[in-house]
Amino acid sequence: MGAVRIGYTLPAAMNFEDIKELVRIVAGEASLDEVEVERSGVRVRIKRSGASVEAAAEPVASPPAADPVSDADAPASTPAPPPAAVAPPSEAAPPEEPGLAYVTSPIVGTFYRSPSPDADPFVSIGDTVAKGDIVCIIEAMKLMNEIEAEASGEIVSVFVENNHPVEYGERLFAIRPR
Amino acid sequence: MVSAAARQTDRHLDQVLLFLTRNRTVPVSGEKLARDLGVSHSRMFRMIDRLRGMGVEIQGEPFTGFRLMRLPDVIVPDLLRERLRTREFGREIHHLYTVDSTNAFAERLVSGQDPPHGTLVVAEEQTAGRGRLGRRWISHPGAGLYMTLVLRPEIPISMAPLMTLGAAVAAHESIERVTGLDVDVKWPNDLLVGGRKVSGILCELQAELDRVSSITIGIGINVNHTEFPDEIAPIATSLSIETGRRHSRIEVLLDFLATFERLYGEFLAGGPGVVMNAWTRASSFASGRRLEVHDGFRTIRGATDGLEAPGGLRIRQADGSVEVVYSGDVISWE
Repeated sequence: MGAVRIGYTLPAAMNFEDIKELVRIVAGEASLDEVEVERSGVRVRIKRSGASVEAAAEPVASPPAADPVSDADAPASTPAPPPAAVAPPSEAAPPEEPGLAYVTSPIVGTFYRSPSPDADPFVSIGDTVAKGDIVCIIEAMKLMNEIEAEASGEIVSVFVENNHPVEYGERLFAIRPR
Repeated sequence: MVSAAARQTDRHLDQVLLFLTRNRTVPVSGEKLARDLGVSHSRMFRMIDRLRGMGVEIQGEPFTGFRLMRLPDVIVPDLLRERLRTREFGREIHHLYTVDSTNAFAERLVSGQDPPHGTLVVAEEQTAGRGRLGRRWISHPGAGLYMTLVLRPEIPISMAPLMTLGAAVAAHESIERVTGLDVDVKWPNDLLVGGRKVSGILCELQAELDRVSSITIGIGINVNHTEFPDEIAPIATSLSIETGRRHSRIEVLLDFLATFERLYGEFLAGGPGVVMNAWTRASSFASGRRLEVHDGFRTIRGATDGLEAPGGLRIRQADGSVEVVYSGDVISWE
C-alpha cells in the first residue's frame, strides 16, 4: 500500500492528548495499518493489531538538526513531554508498588520541598496529608506550580532531592492511602 | 490581606480622582464630594490629604472647593478602561492603593472567586512585594507598576511556562516603544537596561488534572524610582533613571496590555513557536552568549544555544554537550 495522506496537521508540541488523537485516527481509518511520528527526540509508533490499536513511544538517538527557533515560519520544535501513559518517563524507575498513590510532576522543572529556601518543607516522610494538600512546588521559567497530594494518607517516600530537576511524569512522592 | 474597609477606601479614592478628573475646569465643593460618595466631611478631607501625600496635585480648601492641577499618574479603573485597546486583558480591574502583594491578592481571587480571563490586579504600593525564592521586590509607592494579570488559557500544563516568556517579550516591546530605551531580556524573563534590571516577572499556576485552570502573572516594572537600597543599587535601575525624565505608568500599562493580548492571541493560533521566536528576537541571551546559570544545586557554564520548549535555555558546555535549564539564575554573563 502506498503512502496515505490524512487530513491532520501535527501540532508543534505533541502531548498525550495529541497521541490519543493519533490513535483515534488510526483506529478510525481502515486503510491505515501503522503510523510513525517523530517529534524532537521522541518517536511514536501506532500500529493496528487485529481489532485493537497499540501505541509505543521511544526516545530517538539524535534530535532533529533544525535550529528550533531560527525560522519564524517553522513552528519551534517542541520536545513532547514523554507521554506518561504510553511510555514510562524513566527507565530506571522501579515498578510501582501496588496500593500506593504516586504524586508525579506535571511539568519539566525544579523541585522545591518548601515555599522558600529557609522555610520548613511542606511534607516529610511519615506526615499525614489530605487530598489537595500542597506537597511541593515545581518551578519552570519562574512559573511556580504548587503540587497537591492526589490522595489522603501517609507520605512513605520522597523520590527527589530539594532543588533538583525533575522530568515530566517523574515520581515525586508515594502516599499510602488511608 | 486586604480588609473590606481598605477595599472600600480604595474605591472611594478612585471615585474622588475620577470626579476631580472629570471636572477639571471648576473647583468641586468638598461638601458635594462627600455627599456623592456617602462619606463624612472629615473622612473626605483625610482622603484628599492621602492623595496629596501620594503626589497628586489637588489645589483648594474644603470651603472654596477642590481642583486637580495636573492629571495624576494613578491607575483609576474607570479612566484606564476608557483608553484600553484590548478585548479582554484589563477589562476587569482591581485597583489597590496598598496591598501585601498583587500576586497574593490575585491568588486569593482565583481560589475564592472565578475572575474572568484577563483580570488585572494593580497596586500603587506593595508592602510585601515578592520575587523568586522568597526574595523581596522593592515597591516604592506610586513609582512602579506592580501588577498581576490573571489568564485562563485552555492549554496543557506543559505549555504554561510559555506565558511567562510571553509576558517578558510584551513588556520588553512596550517599554522600548514608550521610552525609546534599548531593553534586553535575560533568561527567562528579567528585563535589563544597560545590564541592570528594570522589570521582573513571577507567575503561579493553578491547575486541575492536566489542564491549566488559571495562571497569575506578576510583573513589577521600575518606572519612576529615583534610587534603590544599597544592596540592589548595582543591579537595579528604573526607566526614569535611564532616560532622565519621568514616565507615565499608565502609558506603559496600556501598551503592555495591548501588546501582550496580541501576542497571546498569536500563540493560541500558532503554537509555542510564536512565543519562542518572539523571545529569541527580543533577547541577546538566546544564542552564542557565554554565561553561568545556577539552578539551586549545580552551576552550568557555556554558550547559549537557543530555547527548548516550553522555554528552557539550551547551554552548550565546553565538552560540546548541551544542558537544558528550566529554572535558576543567570549569575554571570559576558
